[in-house]
Amino acid sequence: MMAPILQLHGVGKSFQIGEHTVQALSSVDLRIETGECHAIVGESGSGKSTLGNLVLGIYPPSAGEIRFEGQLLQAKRPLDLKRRIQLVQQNPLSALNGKRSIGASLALPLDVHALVRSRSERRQRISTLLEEVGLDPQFAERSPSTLSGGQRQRVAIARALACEPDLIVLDEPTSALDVLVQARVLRLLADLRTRKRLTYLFITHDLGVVRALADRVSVFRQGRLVECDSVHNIFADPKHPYTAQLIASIPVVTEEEAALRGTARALAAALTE
Amino acid sequence: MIESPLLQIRDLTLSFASSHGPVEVLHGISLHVRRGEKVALVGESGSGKSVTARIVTGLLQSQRGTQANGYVRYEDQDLLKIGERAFRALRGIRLSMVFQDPTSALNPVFTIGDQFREVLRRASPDISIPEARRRAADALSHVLIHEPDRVLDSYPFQLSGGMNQRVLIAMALANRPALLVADEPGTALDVTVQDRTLKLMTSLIEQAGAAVLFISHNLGVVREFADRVYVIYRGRIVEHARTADLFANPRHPYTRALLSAVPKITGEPLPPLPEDNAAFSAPPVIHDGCAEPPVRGDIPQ
Repeated sequence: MMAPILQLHGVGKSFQIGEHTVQALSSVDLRIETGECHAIVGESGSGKSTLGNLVLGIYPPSAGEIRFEGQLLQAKRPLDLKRRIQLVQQNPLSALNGKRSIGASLALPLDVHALVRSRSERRQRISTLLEEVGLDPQFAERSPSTLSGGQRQRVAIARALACEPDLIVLDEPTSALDVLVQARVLRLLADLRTRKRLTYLFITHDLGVVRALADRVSVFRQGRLVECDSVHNIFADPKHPYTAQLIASIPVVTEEEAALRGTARALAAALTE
Repeated sequence: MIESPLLQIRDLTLSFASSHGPVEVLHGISLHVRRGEKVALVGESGSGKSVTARIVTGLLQSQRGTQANGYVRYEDQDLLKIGERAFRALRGIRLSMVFQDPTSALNPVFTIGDQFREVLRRASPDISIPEARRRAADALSHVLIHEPDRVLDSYPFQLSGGMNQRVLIAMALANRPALLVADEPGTALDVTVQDRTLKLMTSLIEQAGAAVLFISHNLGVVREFADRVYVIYRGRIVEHARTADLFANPRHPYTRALLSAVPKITGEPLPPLPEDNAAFSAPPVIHDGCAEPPVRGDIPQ
């Protein structure tokens, strides 16, 4: 059997803040299959972003191990592994260098990872990347400050794609966007995943967005994994009271959603007892 | 005769000065809020919803380069005409507000108790320190803060966001205002905390008999909270309906697009949304029974 793209065994992470030790993540076991969109859901302080940072190698875990395609994944990792795991962040303005043109921002990963051999190839590749995320190739000349939030997020996605990654950590990729823009970016992400056979580790607090994009969901609370299941089961039949409570708290817009939420509310009450 | 609305805005335009000349951000919006009513103004960023809130609370009029025209009446006063001094007599007393980010809305160098006393002093300048503390503790217990004394002695950064938001709601309602302007009051909070805060705010507002102008980008929150909804797009009201009608039968292309773009927990796929938004400029849709009431007296030209 093929090893899954990502596997976490007993992963924990603690931070030393003055005299206090903050346990951000505790003994997490998780398996992300190749090609799936796996949502990491939780509220602030749940450890969801810490998990993303561990996978990206921003810092090492305090306990346990992370495996990428069966191989131990260290925080200090070879360039090629860095290339294969990319990030799209929440705030597309701070993610892009305001002094660099969009083209220059996209050229950097191409050069660092030696993915192009000539200037013309680089220019060609940048145009293709912009087109893949639904932007005009002429955007290469522009500066991030002249772009809307949605356009900037598309550039951030293009920059991640430039590395030809296998796994993308999406950390709240649409929560700073307006709802119409969010819907377009979500469709783009879904489309790119199929076309490029990507795996997503999708970190978010928004369960509605999870339903739109994810295959499986892991719910985190205070650094612990409380429930992991298919997106269908999580919504139809949450097993943990906290999951039910999260679903019961979502503001909804249709009668059907309100009915589903009503069920979750009853379930949350029953499971808490 | 029907009582005239508590807040009435008619044909309000607003422009800001820029190096390229004035930029118009509101193109003549009209709305009203009756006593005890919860009215939402919903729109995306840049739609003009927050600047409308800032005009009602008098935070924009005095700024240089700001040009507001039209009719904005609250109780018996024209809010575009009264000066900062008259506004100060209103704000925090007859008219109060709750903002999005609770922690930055509170002053970090004073305790909650000191800040609460300031609020109470606006309405009762002679209130004694023990009396202010007693009333503040009482108000905090209404927002389900179980240890009001500990909270009163705390600084804002020692409390969670949800706790600070409840403190702000308690402060906003402490002087029994007739109108509360709430600009995205739950947006910075976690969803379970947001849910609890909004429920609490609803019951307190109903008890106090206050009216609310509720500014939000979140259609789900609006559906839960408001009696009536105005949808605003690029400085124009595009649809106005009672909440149940708007969600059951959205008629303006923009409202429809917004509702279809919200990811549903029932799993309906997201529709393709064209980048070309020409249809969003269609004329406004006013549902039955939602016409703007006549303006009392003269409309200033």
